[in-house]
Amino acid sequence: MKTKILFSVVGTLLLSATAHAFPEMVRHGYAACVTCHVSPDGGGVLTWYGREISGAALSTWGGREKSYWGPEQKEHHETFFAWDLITPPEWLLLGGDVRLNRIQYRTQDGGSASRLILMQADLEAAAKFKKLTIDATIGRDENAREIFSRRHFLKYQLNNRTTVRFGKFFHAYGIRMPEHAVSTKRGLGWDQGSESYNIEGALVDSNYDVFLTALLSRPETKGQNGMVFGEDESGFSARASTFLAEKYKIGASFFTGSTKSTDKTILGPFAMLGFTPHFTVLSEFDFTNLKLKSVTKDPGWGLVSFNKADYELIQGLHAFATYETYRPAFSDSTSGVNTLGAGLQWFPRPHFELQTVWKNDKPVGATEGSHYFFLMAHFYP
Amino acid sequence: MKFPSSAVFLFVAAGASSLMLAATASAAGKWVIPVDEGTGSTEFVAVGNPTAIRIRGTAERPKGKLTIDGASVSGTITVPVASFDSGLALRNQHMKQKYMEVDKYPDVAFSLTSLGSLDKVTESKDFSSEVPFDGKLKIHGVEKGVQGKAKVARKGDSVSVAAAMKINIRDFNIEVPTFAGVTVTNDVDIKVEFTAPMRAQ
Repeated sequence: MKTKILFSVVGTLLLSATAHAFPEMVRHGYAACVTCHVSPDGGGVLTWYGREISGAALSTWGGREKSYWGPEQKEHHETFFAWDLITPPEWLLLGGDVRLNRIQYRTQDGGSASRLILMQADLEAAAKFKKLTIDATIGRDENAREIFSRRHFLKYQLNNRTTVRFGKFFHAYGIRMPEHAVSTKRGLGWDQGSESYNIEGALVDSNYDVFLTALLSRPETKGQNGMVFGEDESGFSARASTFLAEKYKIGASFFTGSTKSTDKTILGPFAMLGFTPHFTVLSEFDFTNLKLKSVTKDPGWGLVSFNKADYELIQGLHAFATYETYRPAFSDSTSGVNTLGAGLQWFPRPHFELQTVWKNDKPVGATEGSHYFFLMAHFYP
Repeated sequence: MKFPSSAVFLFVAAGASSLMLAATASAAGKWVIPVDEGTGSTEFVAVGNPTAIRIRGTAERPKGKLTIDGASVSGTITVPVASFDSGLALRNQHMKQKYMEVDKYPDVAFSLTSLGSLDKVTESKDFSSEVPFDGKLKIHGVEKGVQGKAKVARKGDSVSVAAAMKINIRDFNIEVPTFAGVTVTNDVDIKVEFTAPMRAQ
């Protein structure tokens, strides 16, 4: 029981602390992340277009409803950075993320407790000089309690479709999504704060995309007490996908690399399916071969998966259900977790997101799982 | 009263000849396709740059009437601009009001001027082929000649047509749509389909 509670609390604490790509937007034909984000793989600071779409298609209220073109294009608008209180020049994009999480969990004596936690407080700027873009975040690392930059990179636009990028960011693998604590992110060792230094080549067409990334190194992720959460990692990653009828994105990813303790080979398909303007299914399956360097025996292959069905009840308000599997090795029939989840996500106005989630982690072979619940508020200026 | 056998033969032969002549005249003669009475769809696809977005839109089914008279074809089908739907209200308003100027130019009209294999379409009640067509497309108040290929299928007394064409919006004096850093490319793919009755006149 103690273990379950601890797992629930830690799981909840680390849930949803990073953000910013919403792959469900595939239902509106936005199969390529770069339409709305500076990063070719999505996430992070929004383009001007992304800001407008956040008002027009993501939020319940706050989108433009009346005429807005012509000279009045420069008029004040709610979707602009900080409600247009600060007007950056056209070459400069500003953004950021502040996340608060209220956690409800069981205490060891059977009671309940709750905590309010600042999960993330980042500012981000992207400056574009002709074909070169410089992007960087600055914020507070809530684990280490220090100022740090989660992501920073140089991006060079070779042509309309092709970019090369160097810096610290998540390599492209599978579905880029905010839920970083799920099995296809945390379960693969790519949790919050595990961005690596990479060189990336990306080809993003209106019908397909291809990402090739060399992972050069990854700074160790440390907590306040110096405990290392994530090890240095290097390797190579490839991801390719095709867009079918604009609202269906199907692809596959491959990764090979190693940390100090583990050799990893991971590969598998993923799909982002916008069946209707309101109904989206996300699905990713990754076959894993995770070999501990200290152990000579190869554990063989395992499987992690993430599946999410999302229905937009009214614009901006979503009900969703998730199902995850984590089986590090098929050869070990006692190791693994299946997780069922459900929740509501609401974008009331541009800049705001609220999310409430229930999850149940059930270890393989167990008759009972552990439950946890959280309420998350996200502000993106 | 008894008719001589030769008279009976002449009567039957004359009748049969008349029927055959009438049938031939009908096949090669005048036919009407009331598109209004059928079903159909209209679709358009545009690509945004530099953001790799494909915008697939729909519109109401085409309406109008086509006439086949011997070797010539004529008639106009229209689609109301107000029915254009790109999937986002903001984008629809932008497209219809600013770029298509729907209040001034409420319809897109296509006038068919020639269609390949017309004789087979009228003569056979079971025909299917891809044929070339020519016509005039009027968008945003500007009329331009267009060519393309259409899949035409006749089954009994109904005909199905699926036509696709690529247009350059600059040819129709439509400003290149630009919004918040995203520009739509000049070329737009249009696909029109309908199934309607085909009646001899």
